[in-house]
Amino acid sequence: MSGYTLGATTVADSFAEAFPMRYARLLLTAADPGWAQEAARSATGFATSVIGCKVEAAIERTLPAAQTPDGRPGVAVLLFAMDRESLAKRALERVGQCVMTCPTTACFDGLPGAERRVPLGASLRYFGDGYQASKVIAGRRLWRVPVMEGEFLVSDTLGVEAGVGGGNLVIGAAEEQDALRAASAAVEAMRGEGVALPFPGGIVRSGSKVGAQRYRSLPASTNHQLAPTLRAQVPDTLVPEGVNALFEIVIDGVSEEAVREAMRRGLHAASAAGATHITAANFGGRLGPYHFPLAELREAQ
Amino acid sequence: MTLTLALREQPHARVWAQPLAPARLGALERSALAEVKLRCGREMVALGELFQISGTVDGELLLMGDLRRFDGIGAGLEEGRLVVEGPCGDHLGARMRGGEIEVRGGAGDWAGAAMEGGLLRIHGDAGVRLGGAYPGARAGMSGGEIALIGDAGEEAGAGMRRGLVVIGGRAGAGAGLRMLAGTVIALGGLGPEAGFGNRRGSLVSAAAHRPLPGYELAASYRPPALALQLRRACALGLEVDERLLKARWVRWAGDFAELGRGEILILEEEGR
Repeated sequence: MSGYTLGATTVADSFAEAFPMRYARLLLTAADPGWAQEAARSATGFATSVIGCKVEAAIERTLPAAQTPDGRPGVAVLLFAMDRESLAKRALERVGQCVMTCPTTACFDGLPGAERRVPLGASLRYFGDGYQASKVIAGRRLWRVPVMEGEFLVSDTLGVEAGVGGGNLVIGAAEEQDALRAASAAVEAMRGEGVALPFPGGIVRSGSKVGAQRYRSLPASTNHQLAPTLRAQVPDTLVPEGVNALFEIVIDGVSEEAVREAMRRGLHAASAAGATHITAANFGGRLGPYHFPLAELREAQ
Repeated sequence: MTLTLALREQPHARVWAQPLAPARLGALERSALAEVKLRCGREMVALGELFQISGTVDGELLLMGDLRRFDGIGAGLEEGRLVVEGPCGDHLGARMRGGEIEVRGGAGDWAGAAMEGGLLRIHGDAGVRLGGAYPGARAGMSGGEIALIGDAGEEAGAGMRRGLVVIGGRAGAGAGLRMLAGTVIALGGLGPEAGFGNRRGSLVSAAAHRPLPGYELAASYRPPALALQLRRACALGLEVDERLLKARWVRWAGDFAELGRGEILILEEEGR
């Protein structure tokens, strides 16, 4: 396999393949950082892949009180879906079930400048059963929904922008714990503004391919080319000799650049943390228009 | 350089100054500018006779002088910024729909009356019916923001349908009279008989206030929307005590003589 080496890491001559998505950013605030985290964790639960969860979501970053609309501690959450309508449904469900229910929270739109918008509080307000009220503050409408604790404040609409989903890195090593350590280091380096890593801890061990060889009804199935246990029985295996465990990090980003730079940070962090092999998953260019060749990430910058 | 109109001397009668809008004057040549006619009592007087004109409009118009005899300054304003160095007459920014008016001085009656949008900022006191409804009209202010760094006269926010009025000082009697919705915040406290006939509006008093009998005590809590509005007031140049941002407020619901979906929020230490 051609490619390049980065210290003790072999980087495959491969590319990550990504596709267009739509995203929204929620700014969740609460009386203290703990409750803001609780709301964010709950709102981003069961949101690893659009294949099974209809939405991909993750905590983007924590926000100090000075950076939130109401001056309370907060968390920024990114939600990604395949289209605007789907995103609207998922955001409504998650804010209604996971944020409104969480003590002391409020929910604001993190993309106030976006032209395309979907209803949030405009739909959720009906929970107020006629007792809800709205306020327009600095040109933005917010809904006050009365709840047992006081009031839940929620933005009338959410901005929606075009994003990129499906960027990825596949990180391997001879030992499972070494591969996991390297992947964890990559996750740590990749997290930040504009990036969502939707899988548990940012890492997925069951990377998938589109469709299935045997079961035609499946939308996705195991990526057999990257399963070390199948190395001997899959003719076109992509698992190099000596690699016994691989972990994938899937990256959704607010732009192509955000995904590329996150991949760059992750690749170099994984290499420094002991990865022996790094590659990326793609589907021969058939899945999406965004390609991120690992060769372009050689420089740490 | 901003187009500046400096008052030469006090006019002999009240002047209707609505034509002094940045966009309108900015479209005129200097010679035509001086010939703009303003109604002064029963006469029409040229702008150049009333004001010394200098500079050019760059989206901003500056008026200087004691303009208490000038009514309708910025009335119906749609865009641009109008700054007044000195006190103004009545109907300041009335029915304005956009843009920004900043007055470094007081304002007369009906400031921001029936306002639809934009920002009106007054560094001084204002007369009666700030952001209010004109006689015969059901609704007053229907959008925009008024920041008053001073005291307001009677019936501020009367008939208000939408928008935000923040009064740095005290509001006179009858604030929020027959209010439909919107918010009136009085950092120095509300005067008597506030919120009579209030349907869905919010009145806020940061000083002791005794609500009308049509209001019922509901609860004490930290209203999240009020915290945002107070932050907005800070951004508009009002001095808001930090303790107000984190304080508990007593909610009185009313006016039950009307729809009863409105509220008066009173700072807790003052509210029971």
